Amino acid sequence: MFEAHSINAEHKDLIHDVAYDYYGQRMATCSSDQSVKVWDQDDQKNWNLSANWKAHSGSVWKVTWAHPEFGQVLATCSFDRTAAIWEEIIGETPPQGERSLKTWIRRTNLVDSRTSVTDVKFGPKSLGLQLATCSTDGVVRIYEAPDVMNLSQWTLQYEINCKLPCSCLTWNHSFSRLHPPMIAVGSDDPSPSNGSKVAIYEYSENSRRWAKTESLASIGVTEPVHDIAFAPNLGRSYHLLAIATKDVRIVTLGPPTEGSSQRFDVQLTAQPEDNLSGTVWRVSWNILGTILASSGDDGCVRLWKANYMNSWKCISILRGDGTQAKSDTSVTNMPTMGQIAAPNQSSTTRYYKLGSITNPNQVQKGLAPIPISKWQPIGRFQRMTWIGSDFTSYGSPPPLEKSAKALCGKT
Amino acid sequence: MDVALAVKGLQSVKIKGSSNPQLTVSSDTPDELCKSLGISAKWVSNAFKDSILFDPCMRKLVNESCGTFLSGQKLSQNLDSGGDHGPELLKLSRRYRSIIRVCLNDLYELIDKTGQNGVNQNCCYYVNVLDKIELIWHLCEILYVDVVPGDIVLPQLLEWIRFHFPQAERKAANLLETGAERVEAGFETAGSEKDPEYWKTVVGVLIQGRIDATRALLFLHSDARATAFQQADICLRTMPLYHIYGGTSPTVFNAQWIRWQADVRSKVEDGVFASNADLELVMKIVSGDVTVVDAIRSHCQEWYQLMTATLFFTEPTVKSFDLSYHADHAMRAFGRSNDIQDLDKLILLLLEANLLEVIQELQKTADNGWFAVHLTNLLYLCGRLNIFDSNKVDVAHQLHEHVLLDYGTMLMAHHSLWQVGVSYLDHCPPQGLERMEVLLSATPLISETRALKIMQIAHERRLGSVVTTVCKVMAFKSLHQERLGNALAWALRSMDANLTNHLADRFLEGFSDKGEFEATDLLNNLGSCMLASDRLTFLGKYCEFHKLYKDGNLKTAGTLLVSLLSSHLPPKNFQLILLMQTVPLLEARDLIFSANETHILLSCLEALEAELLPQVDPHSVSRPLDAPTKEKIQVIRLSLARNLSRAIIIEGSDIPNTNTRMVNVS
Repeated sequence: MFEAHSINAEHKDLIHDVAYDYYGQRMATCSSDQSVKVWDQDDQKNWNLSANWKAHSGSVWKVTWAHPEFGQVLATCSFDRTAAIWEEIIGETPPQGERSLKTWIRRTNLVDSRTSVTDVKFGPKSLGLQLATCSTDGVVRIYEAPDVMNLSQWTLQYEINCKLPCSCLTWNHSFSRLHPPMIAVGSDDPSPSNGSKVAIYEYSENSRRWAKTESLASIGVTEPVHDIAFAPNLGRSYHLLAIATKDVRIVTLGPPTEGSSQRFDVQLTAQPEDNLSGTVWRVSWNILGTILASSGDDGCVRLWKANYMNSWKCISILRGDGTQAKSDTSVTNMPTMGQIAAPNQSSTTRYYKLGSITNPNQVQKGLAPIPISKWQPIGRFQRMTWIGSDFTSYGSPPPLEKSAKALCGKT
Repeated sequence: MDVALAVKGLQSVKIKGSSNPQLTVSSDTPDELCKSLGISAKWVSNAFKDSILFDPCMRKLVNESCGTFLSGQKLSQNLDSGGDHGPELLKLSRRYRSIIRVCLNDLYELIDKTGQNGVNQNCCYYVNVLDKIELIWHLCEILYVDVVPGDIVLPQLLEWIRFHFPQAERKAANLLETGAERVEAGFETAGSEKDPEYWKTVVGVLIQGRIDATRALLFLHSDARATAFQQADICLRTMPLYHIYGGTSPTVFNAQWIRWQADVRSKVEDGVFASNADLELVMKIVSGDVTVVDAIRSHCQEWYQLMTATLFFTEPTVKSFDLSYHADHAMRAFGRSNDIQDLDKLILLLLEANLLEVIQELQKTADNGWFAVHLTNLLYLCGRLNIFDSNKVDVAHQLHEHVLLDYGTMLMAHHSLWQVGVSYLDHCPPQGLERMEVLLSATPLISETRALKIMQIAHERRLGSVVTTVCKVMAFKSLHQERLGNALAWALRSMDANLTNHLADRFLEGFSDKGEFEATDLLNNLGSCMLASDRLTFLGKYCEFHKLYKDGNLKTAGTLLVSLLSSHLPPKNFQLILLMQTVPLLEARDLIFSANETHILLSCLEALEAELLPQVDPHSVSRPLDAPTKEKIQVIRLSLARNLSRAIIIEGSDIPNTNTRMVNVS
């Protein structure tokens, strides 16, 4: 159902994050070796290194692209307590046939945090050029570039104190003007007694402040949260939030029920009954917000999709070594996750090409001792459509293989 | 018995039926393919380079079916107004099927051309898939689209079997032809039974309900004149056949049928046909004898063939809702019930009228949901899609839209089929439009043509945000390549003030470095576009000034310059340049600036100087008041003073302005 391609990223340490640009044609990786690398896809769909620079003086935790209408812009955040904005600048055109490295320059360095900056995300482009960062001291900072043509000027607009160490944050990319700007923050605080590890903040136009409007207490997310992601909202009345904690959870935030004092009607729509994946490290949506990818301790990436009745099911499982899990054919001598994670393996970025995805935009870092993976929400899925049948009755979901067998098996 | 007529009839069937001489070939090759399917990794890499729908030879299927889909949607608008749209829907269904057939024919040609090598394998696989799709579609059409009065479907089911298992008829036609030739050549009998396939063919056409062909074949037997054969011919000739529009009601027909079959049975029991064992078997089949089911089975390739065959001789007026029972029965008799494959399952589900599961199964086929989406759409149009959720709410609409969305999204993800996807998303409001908004703006802008196409599509659907995004991204791309003119053209389309400001600044920067503008053709023809931003307005006007100056239209150029300077449009760092440019005008032989205008210029200079003097901020663009700047200001001041004196003298004297010019010129 999918092919796995490996790129030897030649990072000298763990790769922490991989991010695709808006079109899925460029890719940025960041690593504990303090560097960031940018990869461009050529016409033959090969990934070529186009830039490589030392970005920080500490591990680079996250890397993220701004919308292309602001140019080619990256943001990174690091253990060195800073976040940085990078812009690709025009270099001299190389002679024919030669591939030159492009130059990225640091436009600004955001030094307000006193502790490690754990996540950095650009806001929806309808808000202009905004950037949110969060750090282990529990502060979320929202910056804005007043002149989008001048990326060296950023002003710190808001500081929100979340009280718990923050591990991840996500903007709600809604296409409706009725929804105020919204951010969800997750915490990896290990103590369950500290209450819910997810908080939702909304910006109020009237008070010109960000205020906490929901903590998902009814769902009871008390385990550490490693990643969090709002699904792009294409005209739904409710918001979808994916949470990576000890398992994957998909939460809907609907308009409040009549007479309720709550800001949202919070419902847990999906939580796997049999948690086979172990701790979940990353979650990521496709651009339509219809398919969720999650990666877990078992070294597998799982894809989740809702059927026409809005019930969520796992539609595919991809193993870290590039084979399809659960398939009868995967018993060949493929290296297991443990082997891949062996320290003598070189730094490798793996990405999978699903039969169902136009751009090979599935990335998993095979080398991290804890397999973390990232599936950038560009995925435009071609197959694996699924309308609500119970897959367990058919065995594994790969549709083509099965039907091909069936259709050909008849003479 | 007219042999020629029977031959004719068969020929027409041959043309109508799937006349695929390679059918046997193709069904052999995929078999090997199938074996490798489960285990072979090679298969996976082959199949997923691009899935079946994206192969160039399937292009026709995608595009043509999209056209049919659209005409179906057009039809659906009339559906609400009432009236019988059955014939039109049937036509639609046939059109889909003929698209599949055309595609199959193309594939056969391709297989012929390439011979037996690698490409071939894929094609054979496609042929196999499409062939099965057509089989299922045909059955769907019979059961759900082309609904006959009285719900008596067996005649159509027989037609379906004949269409997809044409081997027996083909062989029969062959036999009849050679037989007729022999008769013509003067032989007493054709003696066709010498052909080893003779009896097999007779039974083959018989169980497909071709009574006339059976008779014609029996007539070619050397013993055709014997009593047994004559009796058999009588039996077959008098066999009542049910026609929907034949005028007999099912009850009357059933009475006739029972009487006739009892007659045949008694003849069989009397041993009328005992002289020929093969003939006796044929007549036993005709009499509906249950003991010969095994014999029938050996003539069937599939359980559904067995089903229609037994039904034809036991219950010719079976209703469609009884079919699932018979299907089950036939499957067991065929010995396949343990080994149900997806195709069998689909047919079973169709006969059970379990459309939801049919669609679920179809989604798993290898055609990326092509079949599922078009069939769902057709059934939806026919109003045959009645699916209820646990609360007994009809969710057919949701299902229909879900399938359309998936298919449209899938197409939009493809680098060259995305425009087809747009047509599908158009027809699933409201989500379709929203998805399109996201997908269109995420389509990689690999070329200007592509960008323009996306813009046009977005424009037609009033997706203004997509248009703006595309323009901005294109503008940034051009800017990145240092193509300022192009960038400005895109920025203007996006109407983004920030971006145009920035670009105008870049133009002015370029001008102050090189002394000339890039892309002058664009700048000179900005027209009302220059109102997009202040800076651009200035840029446009400034270009206009240069043009006037070059054309020698000094007076107008001068006025324009003064109005520019007094308008506060020019950026700070550009004011000095502007003032410097007044110098040649001030020093011109003609008086260009009036005393009033000179005053305005003077005050501008004063303001500028006042601003420049306390210049300590190093971030500002303008340089500290260095020697060259000082010198420039002095030059300007001097020129202004001289011009002012000239102006006062001329304006003070009585000579009208026109005369001054004449005097000066002379």
